[in-house]
Amino acid sequence: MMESRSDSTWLPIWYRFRRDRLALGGGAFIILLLLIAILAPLLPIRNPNHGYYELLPADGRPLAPGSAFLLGSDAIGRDLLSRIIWGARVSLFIGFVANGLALVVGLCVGIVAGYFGKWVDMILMRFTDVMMAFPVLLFSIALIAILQRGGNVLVIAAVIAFIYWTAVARIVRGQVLSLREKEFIEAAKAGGGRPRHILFRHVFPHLVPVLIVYGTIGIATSISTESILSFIGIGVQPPTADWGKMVSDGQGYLFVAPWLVIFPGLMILFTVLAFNLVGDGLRDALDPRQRALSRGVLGGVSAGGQALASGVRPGLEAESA
Amino acid sequence: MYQHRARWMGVTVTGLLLLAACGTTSTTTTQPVAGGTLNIAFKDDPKTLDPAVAYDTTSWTVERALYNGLLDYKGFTTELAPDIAEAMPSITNGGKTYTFKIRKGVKFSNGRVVTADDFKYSWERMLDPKTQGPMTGGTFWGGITGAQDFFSAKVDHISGIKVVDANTLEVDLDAANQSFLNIVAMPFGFVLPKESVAAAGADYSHKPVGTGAFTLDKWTPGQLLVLKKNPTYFGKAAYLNEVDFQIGVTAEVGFLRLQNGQADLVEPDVNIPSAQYIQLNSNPTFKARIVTHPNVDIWFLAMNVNMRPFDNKLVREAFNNVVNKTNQLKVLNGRGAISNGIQAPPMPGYVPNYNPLGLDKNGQNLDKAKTLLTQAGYSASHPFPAQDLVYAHTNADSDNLAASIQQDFQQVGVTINLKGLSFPAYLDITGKPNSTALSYNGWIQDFPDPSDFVDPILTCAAADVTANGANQAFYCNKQLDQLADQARGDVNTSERLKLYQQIQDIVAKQDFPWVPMYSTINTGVSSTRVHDYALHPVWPLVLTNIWLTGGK
Repeated sequence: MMESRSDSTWLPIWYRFRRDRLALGGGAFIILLLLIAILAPLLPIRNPNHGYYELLPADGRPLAPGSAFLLGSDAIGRDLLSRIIWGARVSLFIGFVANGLALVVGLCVGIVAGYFGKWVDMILMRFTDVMMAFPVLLFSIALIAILQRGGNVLVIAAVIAFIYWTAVARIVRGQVLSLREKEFIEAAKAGGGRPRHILFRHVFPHLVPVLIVYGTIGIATSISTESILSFIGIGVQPPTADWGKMVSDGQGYLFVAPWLVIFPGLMILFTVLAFNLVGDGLRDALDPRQRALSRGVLGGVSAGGQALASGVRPGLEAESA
Repeated sequence: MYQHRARWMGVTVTGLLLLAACGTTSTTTTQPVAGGTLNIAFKDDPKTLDPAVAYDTTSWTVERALYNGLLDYKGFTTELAPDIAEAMPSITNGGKTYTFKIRKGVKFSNGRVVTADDFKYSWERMLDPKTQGPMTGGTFWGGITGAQDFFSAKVDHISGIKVVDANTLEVDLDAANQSFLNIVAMPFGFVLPKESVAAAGADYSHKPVGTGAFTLDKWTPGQLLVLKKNPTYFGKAAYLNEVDFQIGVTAEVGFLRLQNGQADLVEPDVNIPSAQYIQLNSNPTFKARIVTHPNVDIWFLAMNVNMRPFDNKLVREAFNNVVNKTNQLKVLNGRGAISNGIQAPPMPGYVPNYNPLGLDKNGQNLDKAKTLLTQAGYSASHPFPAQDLVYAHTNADSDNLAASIQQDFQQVGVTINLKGLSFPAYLDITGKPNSTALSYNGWIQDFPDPSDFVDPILTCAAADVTANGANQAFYCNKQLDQLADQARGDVNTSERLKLYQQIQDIVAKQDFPWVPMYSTINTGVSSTRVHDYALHPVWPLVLTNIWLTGGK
């Protein structure tokens, strides 16, 4: 079914999407970042973990952006440009993997709860509510402490996924609840379709737009969460280049070497912004009717950040939209 | 004492005592004014204010203001002087019996007069395994006659601590110990009243009672700890009326507060972090207010001699040729000197430019390291196994120091993985036998004597532990132990220092349990209204000299 839709359904979406200049710009930024991240080992840049101590002054003051280092060096003479490029790999990897995991888990839980309803829905959704009740940061710190594996990017991705699947589950369940009452589903049931067949063939395709939108914005949330975890010292461990960790390490130098905070900080900002803009654009393109509603509720830069700061999952807002 | 955050140093060579004066903030000729509240920013609460238990610099910072012992250091020097004792003790019986006369009329802040009984009680409580303090074993107090039986709970009292009369305390040792008076002056020797301990029970740490210049007024963990001037203090009264410890303030925020006048000192028990040091130096006002003093400390990599691959001496020797010590110091803004031995610069008997392996100016000889690793059986086909470097994560400096080591070892084909842990977790894992092969360590004097750089960290007794060991290489050499026993009691100073040099040779030239790296220089800074803030060679902070502009 998906295949037959490709020409007729996806092209108009692209036409609508490309009218959104901001989203297009965000998309271009992401593609560029992905290319740089993937090609990092081949780029003519310095080893991100090598300290050029010999270039540093005797008091160990970081070098300002200039001829020696384009974006300056950190306190042990490492090239900030290299570290930012290599840091992109960590951020994007965690963004995609964490959010991919969250989507898969959230989709399974949401679809089962929504479709089967009754006690299945009760149990799954109450469990989801319990999971959502934990404050994000405390929960992550506790999980990483229990796992005793701070620093492993896969573990960090899993922890982030473990926290954010709940939002996906809620959205998916909401969608499935309304889909379940639609005539075509009743027709499929009447035709003797087994649940698995109905879920995959009839329900799932209608969830794709939601998943795409939420997936994109969720990447932004995952990246900012990872940055926060690294900032407070329980995320990626040294000497791995990571934006959140770079901001954390650089904060003491804010007044003497502001570039240590500004450049990685801007990268986090732009990357999160880009994913949010693309998500926003995709949402408008996929569902033009919701355009009016979406602005200012789900869309915008701050969706992920605000939700994190207040301890509320973006999914709550998404569901109410 | 364990050092993850640099503590002060000591100078015992009299000629160097003048250095201490350099630590004093230059002030005008104005006379000190009494009054006012000093604000000190701290990230963490003191662990405890029970002197029998505390063994960290933050706790000692507060304890020093609350309590006194028999002896203290004279002013800002390392010369011992009587405190609650009336005079320095008489030493008889070949250096094995110490008789202390206790000053009359010294009062606890609860109003009761201090007697010799209080010292016997306080010390026995401190040495009682039930108190679970760090001194319930080991060589420091273990040399008192009867202490070993007391440690193993065979007796109820220590026979070697005798109350002769209300004002006379006699202490008998099994063998002479040249650093015993330094040990008495440690916070473990502070006196506290039995009745207050009994009344407070397990909560004593929050209801401490001592004889000090200040008393604890209030302690809200994680927020605020308030000290008030003790009106009945027997010594020279402090100028300050109150000292507020603002808790939960990171160094980054603390130093901003200091520059804005909202805090007067920031974590005065530790060195200024690199980032803040650079920042303060770029501000003329505060650059002029930075005070410095050399630390008696040594930073080194400990290689666990019982664990592979460091059970092979060739490997340990190879590692001694790899670390670029100049780079380590660059991370610390050059605040220190590289070291190839086990002693620190201002220590008696220190050998300048000690370099038994003939290393270059950075402390390296990479070709030698490669040769030794080959001799040890490692090659391209049989590569050296990757090692975890365990270190205490305090701030960005800790990570940078460890990353620098990682880079050095890459040059000889050895992979080092960094494992930064919180300080308690670090102590836990490095203090257990056979659990950590390679760790980044710092040791700072408990008192200014070379014995403190041998007995607690390099002897067989220090390695023979099940947990909380401070000999993190788990190194044991009977010959070294014999020399250490001999040196501890030797009354001939120059002979004694020669013995410590022999010990240094055994460690740094023959057995290689460590890779010695550097000793540091301590720095401190105060807000613009603070006068006469100085770094003490032994104590983390002395409050009694400090006064504020206008007394408020």
